[in-house]
Amino acid sequence: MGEVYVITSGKGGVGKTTTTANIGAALAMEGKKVVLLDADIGLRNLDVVLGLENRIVYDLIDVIEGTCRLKQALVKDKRFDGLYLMPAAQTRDKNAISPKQMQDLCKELKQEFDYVLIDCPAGIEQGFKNAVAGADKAIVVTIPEVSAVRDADRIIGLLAANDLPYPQLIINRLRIDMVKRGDMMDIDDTIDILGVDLLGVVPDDEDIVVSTNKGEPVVANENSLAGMTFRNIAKRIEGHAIPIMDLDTDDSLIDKLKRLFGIGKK
Amino acid sequence: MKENKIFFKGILGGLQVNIDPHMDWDILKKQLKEKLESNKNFFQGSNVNLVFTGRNFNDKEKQDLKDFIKKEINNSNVDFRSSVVKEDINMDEPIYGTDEGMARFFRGTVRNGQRIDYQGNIIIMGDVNPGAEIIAGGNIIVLGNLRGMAHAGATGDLKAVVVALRLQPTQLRIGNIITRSPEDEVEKPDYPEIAYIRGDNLFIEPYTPGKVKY
Repeated sequence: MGEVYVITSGKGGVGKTTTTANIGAALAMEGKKVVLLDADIGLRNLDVVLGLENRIVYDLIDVIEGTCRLKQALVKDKRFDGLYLMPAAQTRDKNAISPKQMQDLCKELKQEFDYVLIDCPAGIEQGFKNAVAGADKAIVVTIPEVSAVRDADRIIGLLAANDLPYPQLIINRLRIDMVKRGDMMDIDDTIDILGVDLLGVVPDDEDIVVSTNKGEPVVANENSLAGMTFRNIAKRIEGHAIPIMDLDTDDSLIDKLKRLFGIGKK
Repeated sequence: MKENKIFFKGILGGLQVNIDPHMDWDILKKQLKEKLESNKNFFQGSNVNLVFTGRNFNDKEKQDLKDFIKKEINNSNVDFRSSVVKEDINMDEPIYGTDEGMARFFRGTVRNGQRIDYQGNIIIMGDVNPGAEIIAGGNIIVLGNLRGMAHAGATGDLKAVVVALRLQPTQLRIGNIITRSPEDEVEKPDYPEIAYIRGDNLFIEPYTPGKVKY
C-alpha cells in the first residue's frame, strides 16, 4: 500500500504546486506509480504546470459525487510513465467536499499507487482541512522570507493538531548570492525557527519559470540545478540518504573554515 | 541517636512545627523545650510565627502550649492547624503567585497562532515562535528562544518576571506595562536575560544566577 503526502505551506505563491509536480515527476522517473491530487478546488493549477489542462474530462468532485468512476477521472501524464493527475474542479469551491470524503478517496488511491501527493491550497481554512485529512505525512514548503516562514510555523502547528506531528521542510527559491550578502535568511535561520527536518533546498532558478510556463516539470531537464535538487528530494523520500547539496559553488576554503569556527559572516 | 519526633520546617512567613500524632503530651513538651533551647539564639528577639500541625489540640492544650512558648521565647505568635498534615494543602484553593504557586509546563515549540494561557507560572521547555502568545498570572520562564509575545503577571502582579535563554520577544508585557523590542535592531544578545518591573519601567538585563534583586 502506498503513502499519502500532503504538500502545504500556509502562504500562497511559495511553490507548492511546482514542488508537487516536480517531486511527482521525479518519483515517476524512479519507476514509482504516482498520483498527484489537486486539492485546490476552484483555483486549480497543477494541471497547467503539468501541461495536462486540455486532457481533463472528469475531476475530483465528479468522483466524490459519483458522476464517474475513480479511474475515469485520472489523467495520465504525457511524458512520465506511472504519473497520473487527479484534477480539481474549477467551477466549484472548497466546501464542495468534506474531510471524510477526502479520507475515503485517499484510501482508495493508495491501494493503487506507491505515492499519493496532495497539492494543498493556500490558507488554513476548509481547503487545508480537506487536504490534510487523508494524509499520512506532510511536506511543508517555504521560501526564505520572514512572512513565509511565519506562515510555515503556523502550518506546522496546525499539522500537529491534525495528527501530522513531524512534517519535513523544503526551502524553495533560495538565492545563495543574497544569503552571502546577508540580504536573505539562510538555511540555518529558517531551520532554527521551524525546528523540523530538512527534506531539501531548491535554488531560485530561471529554468523553473521557463518549464512551468511550458507545462513540463523541470526535473526532466538534466542540466538544471533546480531539477537536480528535486530529483534528490524524491530519492530522500524513497529513503536514500542523499546529503543536502552545497549550493554555494564558489565558496572558498577560508570561508568554510571561518564558518566552522563561527567567525565571519554565516 | 535520639529519635526526633518534632520537626521544624520553614514555611512562608514562619516555622511549621510538625508533631507525631501519637506522642505523649509531657514528652512533647519536653522535646519542644529542648528544641527551643538548643536554638535559642535563633528564636531570641525575633518575631516568629509558629504553626503546629500533625495532631489535634484541645483548647486547654493550646493555651498550655502558648503559655509554655511565651515563657521560653518572647515575641512569638502561635497558630494551630488541623490534625492531619495532608489537609494542610487545600486542593480547592490552589496558590497562584510569583513566589510560590501553581505552574504549567509545556514541552515543545509554541508556534505561530498558538496560545498558552495559565493563571499561575508558565515554564516552556522549547522555543516560543513569533506569533505565539504566552500569558501567565505569574512568572514566565522559557528554556529556549522567546520570539513571540509574553505577558507575565497578567492579573496585575508587577513582581512577575520573564526569563528566557534568548529573550527576543516581539512584545513583552508585565502587569499593565507593554513594551516592544527596539526598531533599530542592535546585536542580539547571546545569553539568558531577565525582564522585570521597577517603578513604571520594564528593565531587561543579563540573567545572572544568584542575583536577588528582581
